[in-house]
Amino acid sequence: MLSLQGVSVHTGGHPILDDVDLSVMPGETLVIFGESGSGKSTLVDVIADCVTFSGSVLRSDDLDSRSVGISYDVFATLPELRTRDVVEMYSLLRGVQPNPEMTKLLRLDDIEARRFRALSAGERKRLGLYAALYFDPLLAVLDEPTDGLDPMQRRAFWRLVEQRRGATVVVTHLWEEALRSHDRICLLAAGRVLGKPRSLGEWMSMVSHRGRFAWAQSAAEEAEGIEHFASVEAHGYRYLYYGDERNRDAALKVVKRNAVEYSESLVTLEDVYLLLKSGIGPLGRE
Amino acid sequence: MNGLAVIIKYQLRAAKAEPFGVIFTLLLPLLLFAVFGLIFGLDQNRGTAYAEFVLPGMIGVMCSSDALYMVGPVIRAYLTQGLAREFKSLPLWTGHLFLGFVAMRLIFVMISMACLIVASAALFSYLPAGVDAVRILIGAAMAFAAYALLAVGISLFANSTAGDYGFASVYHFLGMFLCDAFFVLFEEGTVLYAVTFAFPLRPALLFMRGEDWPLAILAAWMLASLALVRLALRRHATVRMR
Repeated sequence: MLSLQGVSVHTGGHPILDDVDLSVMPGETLVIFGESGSGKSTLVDVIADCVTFSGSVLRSDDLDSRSVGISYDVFATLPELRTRDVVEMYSLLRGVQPNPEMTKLLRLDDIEARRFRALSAGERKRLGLYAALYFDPLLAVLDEPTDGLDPMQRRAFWRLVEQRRGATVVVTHLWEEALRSHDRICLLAAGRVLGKPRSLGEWMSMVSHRGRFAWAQSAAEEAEGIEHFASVEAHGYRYLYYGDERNRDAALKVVKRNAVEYSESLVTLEDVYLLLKSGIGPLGRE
Repeated sequence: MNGLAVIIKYQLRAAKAEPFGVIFTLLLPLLLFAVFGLIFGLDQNRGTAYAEFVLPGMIGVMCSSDALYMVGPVIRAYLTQGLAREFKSLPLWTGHLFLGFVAMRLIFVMISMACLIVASAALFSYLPAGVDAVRILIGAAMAFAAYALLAVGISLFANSTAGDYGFASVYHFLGMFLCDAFFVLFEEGTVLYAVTFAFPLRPALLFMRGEDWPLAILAAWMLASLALVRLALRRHATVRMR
């Protein structure tokens, strides 16, 4: 229903998005995961046609401003309006009746008499989510939708996403959020899509375990010589990734011989992201 | 309900939340008008001459202040704080957001003008009628448009809201005192008199007071201000409006 082909955005000669290909299927939940500055919000701006880009964005005929809901990272409206005014204004502008069920779920009833300028970041976010979702759009694009929401509200939000019939694109830098509910996860780093979007299970099956090292440069270097291993430096540690369980024992032997500090844990989406971003190891060829 | 009508409705509702702004728009011009009218127009032998002079002056100053203080900074905020982007995702032309806001300000300006005219009739027995009233209306509308465009340009070029207000304040007050809004400061034909055409208020007041030729200068001011806004918008690629 939506397809981005070779989309690039440059600001002052610096690439924000670089040759991005991405498609959204009807009814699917696509999570776009990337660190700060990876180009996630610019990608939302491209979909919303709010930024100048090269390449093309193809939309199915049924996609227009009446059928697309967008929630930006920061929701903005007339600051002096009360929450109930904003709800009412959106329903008049869209020609769609308010959705009392959703106002209840997002707990907008509690803040209906408060002016927008007096709302907290989380309350503003809830109002923005309502504005993007209340009319059950065919496509909803939500930029950092859980930012500022408490755990209960996050649950309510994901329940909303699960209940949706239309496609949902969730953009986030929190890998825990990417795990909640999705059909495919797209990894974005430095303006480029890493690999191709796939389910969490598919991503995880590519890397089985990781080990964290301190002061073990030699261990990492030695282990890199073993097939299906990759090591990445981040946050002052070396991380060793096992792409294949069969070589785990061999790697551990090397590591334990050299490492001052060693711990091992299950791999996370963040690990997969770091590994892909580094462009080395078993996923580097993607 | 039409998109523009909805925006105007909620702009008015939002304006109600700022009683100080409403008072500033409606009462301050009335107060200034009464003070200047009573100080300079006490000479009964002059009849309504001073009221005829100061009413267009007060209306012009009011248009200038409303446009510079209210329109410019708010439109800049709409563009830079995500409001324009938010409205772009709605099924309406984004320009309605700006038009709705300007229309709301115009409603206040018109109410304020009506109050001034009523005060003029009540305090100084001067009620502009016929051609005079039409001149005041056209002059005020053009002055407001020129200053509003200029204010948007200034706001978009300013690096901060404080800088924006600072420049707007200096420009507004200089215009108010140099352009003979309340009293004649410079003789016609002098260099200083010519310099005052650097403010749209000067041609607007001349037109409202009966001269035709300044209308061309006022139109040129509007075009120049529009060009400034277009130039400023290129710097702010925040929202691409089609």
